[in-house]
Amino acid sequence: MLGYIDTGNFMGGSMNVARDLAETALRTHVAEPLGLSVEDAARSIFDVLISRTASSIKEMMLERGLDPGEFSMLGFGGCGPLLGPMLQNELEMPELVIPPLPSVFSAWGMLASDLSFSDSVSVLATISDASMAALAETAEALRSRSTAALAEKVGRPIEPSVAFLARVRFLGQEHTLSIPYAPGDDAATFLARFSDTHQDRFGHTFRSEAEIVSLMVKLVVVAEKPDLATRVRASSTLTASAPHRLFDQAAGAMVDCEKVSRDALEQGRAYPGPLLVIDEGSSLAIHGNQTLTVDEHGMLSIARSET
Amino acid sequence: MTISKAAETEIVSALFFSAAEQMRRTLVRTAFNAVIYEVLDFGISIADAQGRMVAEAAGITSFIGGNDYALKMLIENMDMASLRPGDVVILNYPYWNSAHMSDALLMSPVFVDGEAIDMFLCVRAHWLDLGAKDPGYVIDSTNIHQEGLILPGVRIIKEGKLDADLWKVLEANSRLPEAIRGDFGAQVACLRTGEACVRDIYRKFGRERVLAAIEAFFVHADEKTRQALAGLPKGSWSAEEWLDDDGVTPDMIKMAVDVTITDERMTVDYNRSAPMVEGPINVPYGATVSMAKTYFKYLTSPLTPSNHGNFMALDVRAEPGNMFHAVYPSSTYMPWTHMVAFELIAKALAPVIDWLPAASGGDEPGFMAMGRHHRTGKYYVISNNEGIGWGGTHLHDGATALQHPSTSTVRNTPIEVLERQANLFHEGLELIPNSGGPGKHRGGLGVRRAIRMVGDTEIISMKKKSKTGGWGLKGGESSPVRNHMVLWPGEAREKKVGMYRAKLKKGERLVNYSAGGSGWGDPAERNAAAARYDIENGYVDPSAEPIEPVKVETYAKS
Repeated sequence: MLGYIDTGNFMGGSMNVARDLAETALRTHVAEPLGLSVEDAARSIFDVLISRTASSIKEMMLERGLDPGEFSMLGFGGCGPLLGPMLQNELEMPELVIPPLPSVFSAWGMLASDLSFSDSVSVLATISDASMAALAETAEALRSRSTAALAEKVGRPIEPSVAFLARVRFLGQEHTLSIPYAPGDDAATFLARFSDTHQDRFGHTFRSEAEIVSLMVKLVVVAEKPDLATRVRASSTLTASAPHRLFDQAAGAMVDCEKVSRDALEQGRAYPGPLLVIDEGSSLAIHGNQTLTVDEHGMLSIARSET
Repeated sequence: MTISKAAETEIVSALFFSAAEQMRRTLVRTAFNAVIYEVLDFGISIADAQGRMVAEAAGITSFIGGNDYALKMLIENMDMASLRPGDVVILNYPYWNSAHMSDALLMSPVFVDGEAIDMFLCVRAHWLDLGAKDPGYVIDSTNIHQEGLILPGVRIIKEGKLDADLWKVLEANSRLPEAIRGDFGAQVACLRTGEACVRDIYRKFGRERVLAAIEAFFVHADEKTRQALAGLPKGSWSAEEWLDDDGVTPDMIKMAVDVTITDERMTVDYNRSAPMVEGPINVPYGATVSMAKTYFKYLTSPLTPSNHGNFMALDVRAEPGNMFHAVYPSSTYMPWTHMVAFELIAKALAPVIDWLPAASGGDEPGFMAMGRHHRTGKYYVISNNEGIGWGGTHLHDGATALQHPSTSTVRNTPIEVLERQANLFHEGLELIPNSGGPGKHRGGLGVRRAIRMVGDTEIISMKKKSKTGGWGLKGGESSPVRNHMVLWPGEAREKKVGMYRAKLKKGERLVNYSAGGSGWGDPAERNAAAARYDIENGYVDPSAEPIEPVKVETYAKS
């Protein structure tokens, strides 16, 4: 109803979508009982959906002590590209990234991702010069133990990149924050790093003692990547470009725009919204305040400006 | 971004609800005290400039609307015109605050553009110590001045700056200054999170549209509530229940309710209950109202978030001087009264509303522990709410080992936390076979928890319904009387106690028992497969001796 799905080309045209039945259902069950136009009913459903989803994301990130504004959002799965731009707007996130073949991204990612291996040990020590000295030894033992374990799994010698995260809390607290730890950190530096993070996440901090609950090591071995430079292409028969209409969040109305096949997007070029980008498994609706760019691997990056 | 008009009320409502939820998660993340971050003993709400509740987050179930009365009292008694952006007011005066003296309410006004108060944010949470006569809990105070430092609604943060002098007074009055400092900080962070969310909502929609949406969802909630009332039977019904005692005299105390439902309103009248008593079981009126609101919400709109509109059709009556409307200087420290009284409304209405459950175990039979930690030597206070059985319903058996219905969103304290932070080594925690009342749908089971002290520990056994049983429905049987604690089990000095304070030495033991729920329907009609399942899985043990009612000691100290 809102032009976010290319109904004539659903699943690259291999499946038929009955737009008229959707319209009838919406009219009978939502629009007429509420005295709305079908289009208003449809956009209202999206407004509620997006607002609630965004709230849930904020709540979950707050619980982990994170701020959505510091992240890029990754839109994948069949509906990720459809909902992603609207969620990006609602959460005011700087960037949305849509990978190639978003509808099978997880399977693709399994093949392409680096080997990442985590291991951790309990520490439970109040931060002090003595405990930080002991922590450096713990970190070294943890690094060598986990590197050996990973090398055995991989079946060859490895030289992973190594990063440590310590879970830290003020004495008396139960929940922790994960704080980057570098071997050699002294007590004052490390406590200050934790205190600053607490201040940043929760708006206050204490001049109390803090304790390290556990230490985690993360080893990353760069994996051999599928050749992304060739750009993944479906052997699509989609038309490169055609006229389209969609509901633009920025304008608050149905607007004329282009419907573009993802394969036709040119590397390095910026495409301002509104715009519908389609591939065989998904469709990506870019709104009027958003701009899409394509990198050399065919990744789409969507930036937004305030409206 | 533009937002459709049609969705606006729903979206604004959901955004306020999310704001309260974000306040909740901030509080849990940063609190210093397990009663807050594990037990979830708090109440969070957002109200409009008239003090009408716009949204709240789940803390203790029966704190629903609990901040409303406190905010109303602050608005009536404080000079609101003198409040400035960034101020935080602190209140624990029980007759205003709808709770006992340990529940510190922080309130902050939100000035969206610095002109006038647009919203109020409130968060109440249980503080571990504010200088009451005894550490941990006060079970036998006879007036308010034994229950801790009184904070009658004063600014503790002025325009964003902590009043350091006043804070020194608080710390000097607390046995656990670090804990209250941490919990105060967490509550302030919770308010600041809420303020940012509220500003964001106003920025998106503008004041006029926010206020219009709030009015619209109040009206909607009220309409839905009245529709639900229309579907309930009309008339007046009554129920009575007994509290063990008031903590200082041995007499049992009568609690009574008269519930009247008309097409338009429901009235809950507690005036036939006992007058105020000497011991600390008197209930602040605000707590009485929130207890009634909670059950009313369950009867009329159990599935939607709460706001002011949900309660416009409810009247709660308790005259000043009744045990359910405590006035100065009566003692009010024991919130167990409104837990035991919580199911009074159910007891009155169950004969005429067939979907209400039979009685639960009827109490929150937990405990507190205090002392010097056996490893760190530091002073600690910790509590645990014990699970009980719930009553059977027309659809199914009662649930087993759950928190009392009035605190059903609350959690027990994990054994891992009790063992790490306190001197409480757990020998066992198990369900008690046969502790649910038989019925077509039997009551859920109570639990037995055995603890050995690994250091000297002061224990408070917390129970106020250990002398009477529950009530079954439609032929279902009552569960055995079971809420109690056994101190020094198997020794000559063994004692079975209800509400009780005792000092245990390292190596000494206790066993805590909770009651099961009562049954629904004739036990003879129980499905054979369900009966077999119970036996095979140990919920029912036909060979066991019948559970005898326990005779307990209360209102005393060892």
